[in-house]
Amino acid sequence: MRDGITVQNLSHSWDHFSLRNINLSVAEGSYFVLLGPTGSGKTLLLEAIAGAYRPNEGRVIVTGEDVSALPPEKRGISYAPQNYLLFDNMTVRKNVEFGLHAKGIPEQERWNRAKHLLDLLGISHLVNRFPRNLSGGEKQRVSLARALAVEPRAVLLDEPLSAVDTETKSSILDYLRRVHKETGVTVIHVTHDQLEAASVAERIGVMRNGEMVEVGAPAEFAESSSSEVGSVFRSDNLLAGNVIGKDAGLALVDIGGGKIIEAVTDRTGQVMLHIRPEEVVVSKHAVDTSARNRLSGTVAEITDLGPTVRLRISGVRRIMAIITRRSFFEMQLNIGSEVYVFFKTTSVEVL
Amino acid sequence: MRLSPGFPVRFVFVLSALSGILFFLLVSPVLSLIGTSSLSGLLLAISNTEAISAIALTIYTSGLTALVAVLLGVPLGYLLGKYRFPGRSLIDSIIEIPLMIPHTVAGIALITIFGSAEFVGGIFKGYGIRMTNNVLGIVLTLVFVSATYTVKQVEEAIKSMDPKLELVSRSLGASSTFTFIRVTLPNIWRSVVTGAILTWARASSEAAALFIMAYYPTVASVLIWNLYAGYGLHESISNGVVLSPGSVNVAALMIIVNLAIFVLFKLVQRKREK
Repeated sequence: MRDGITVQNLSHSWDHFSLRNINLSVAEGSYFVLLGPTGSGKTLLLEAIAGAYRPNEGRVIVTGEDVSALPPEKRGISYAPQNYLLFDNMTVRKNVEFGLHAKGIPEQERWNRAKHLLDLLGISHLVNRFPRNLSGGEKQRVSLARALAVEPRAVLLDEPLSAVDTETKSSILDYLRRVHKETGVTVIHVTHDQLEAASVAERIGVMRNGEMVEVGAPAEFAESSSSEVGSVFRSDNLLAGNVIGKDAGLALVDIGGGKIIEAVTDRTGQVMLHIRPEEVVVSKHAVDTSARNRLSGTVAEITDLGPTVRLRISGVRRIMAIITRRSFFEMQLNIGSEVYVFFKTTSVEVL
Repeated sequence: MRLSPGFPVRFVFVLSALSGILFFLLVSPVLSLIGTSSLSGLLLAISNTEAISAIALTIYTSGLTALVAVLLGVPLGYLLGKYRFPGRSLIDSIIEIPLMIPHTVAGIALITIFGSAEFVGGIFKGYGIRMTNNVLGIVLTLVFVSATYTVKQVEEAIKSMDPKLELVSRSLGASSTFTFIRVTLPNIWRSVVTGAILTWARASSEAAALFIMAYYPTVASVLIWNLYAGYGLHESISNGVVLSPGSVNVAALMIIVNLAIFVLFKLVQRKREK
C-alpha cells in the first residue's frame, strides 16, 4: 500500500518549544491517530502538514508529491480544527460547498457533492441554518462535511471530540468510522484520549515533548506491558477482538486463545474492548457468578495504590484489576498466584 | 427597585457624580448651541447657499476620506494585525502620530510636501494637478488626520480573529485572495464600518489643518469660523441683504445633519446585523 502522508525528519523550533526529528508514514486510505498529552506538539505537527508554517527542517510528502514548499491551498489536505471554525457568515450548505466554490465548480455539481456528504453525516435538515444555531455535535459534522467535500488527499482532524458531550462523542465516532469507510480518505486524527484513539485508529503514533515516541496498531499498544509507550494503555484493559456472532442479543467477541467475550454492541468485525480495572472481580476459585465473562491467569505484577492494589494478571490476554487492599491480603495473593477474573457483559465497553 | 445586598451604594454614588460632571461637559455645549440657534435662524442657514454648499462639501469630502481610509487602511491594518515583521511596532507608532500632533502642525506638515513648490506637490503640478485648495487637497488633509482610526480598528479585529480560520479556508483550496474576500472581510466588517464611521466623524470636524492646506473650497468648519470671526455668533442682515446666516445657526445645522447621518448609519448597521 502506498503512503498517503509521509513526514521526514521534521524539526521546528519556537521560543519555548520544538518539534524534534519527526518521522511518520501514514498509509493511503488509513486512519491514523496522533496521541499525546496537551502540549506534546500534536497540533503543531498537524499544522506543519497542513502548511500553516514551513518547518526549519524536514519534508512533508503527500501521495508521493513533496508539498513542503507548497501553500496550504495547493496541498489537497483539508484541515478541521479543534473549535470547528465554521464560517459564521455562511449557511451550513455554503460552508460545506465552500472549497468547491473556491475551486470554481458549478453550483449544481457543488450541491450534488455536498448533498451526498450531508446525507452521509445526517445533517441534510440543517442546510439553511447558520453555525450559531448548531449544537457542538452538529458543528463537528458540518466541519467534517466541509473538509471532505473537496475530496482531499487527506483530512486532518484536530481533537474532533474535545468539545462535545459523552453521548455525542460515541455518535461522532460512529460517523467518523462510517465516513472513513465510505470515502476511503486518509485521516490523521489528533487526540489526548487513549480510548478515543483505540476506538477509531488503525495505527497510533504517540507524541511526547515534541517527539514521536512510538508508532503501532492499537492492539500492539494494548498488549505491550514493557515498552515506554505501552504506559499510556498499561494501567487499563484494552482487548482487540473480532465479533464472530450473536447469542441472545449479545455479541460474541473472539479475543484469541479460544476465549470469547460477551459484550453489548451492534458492531461487527474488528473491535476494541475496554474494561475498567475497577470492574474486574478477582477470585482464586472458578466460582459461579452472574458475570458472563471469565478468564484465568497468574498474577504478574502487584502495584500498591494506597487503599487499593492493582494486579497485572497474565493469561490469554493481559488483564489489569484493581481490588481493595483488604481483599488482597485476605486472598493471600502473591506474584505467581493462579487466579480467575470475572467481569460483567455490561462492564465491557466496545470502543 | 430593590438593591441586592452586595450593591456598593456609596461607591456607585461617587462614580455617578463624577460621570455626571463629564456628561455635562460633553452634552451641555451641544444642547446649548442648538438652543441658542432659533428655528428662524436654522431656516436662514438652510436657505443660505454658501452654508449649504459648505455643509455638502464637508459631507462629500469626509465621505471620500472614509472611502480612501477603507481602501488603503484595511490592507495596512491587515498586515499590521496579521504578521510579525521587523519594523512592525515602528510603523504601528508612526501611524498614530497624526492623532498626537496639533492640527495646525498637521496642516504645515502637509503643505511642506504637497504644496505646489514642494516635492510631491511639485511633481503633480508638472502634470497639471494641484494638491492644495481643492477637493484633492481637502481629502489629502482629512486622510492624514483621520485614517488612523480605520487602520487601528482593522488591526485589532485581525488580531482578535483566530488565525486558523484562514488556514481552514486555504486548506480547502481557497487562494489567499478568495479567503480574504470570503472569510476574513465578513469576519471583520463590523470593525471596518466602525473605523470608517470614526474616520468620517473625525474628518468632518477638521478645520485647522484645512486653513493651511485647503482654505478653498470652503468646508463647513472653515465657513463657521469665518462667520464667527467676521460677524459673531448671530445672523447679520443689512438692508435685506444677508451678510451672515449666523455662525451658531450654521453650526447647529451642521450638528443636526451629522447626527442624522450617524443615526442613519447605525440603523442600517443594526438592521444588517439582524
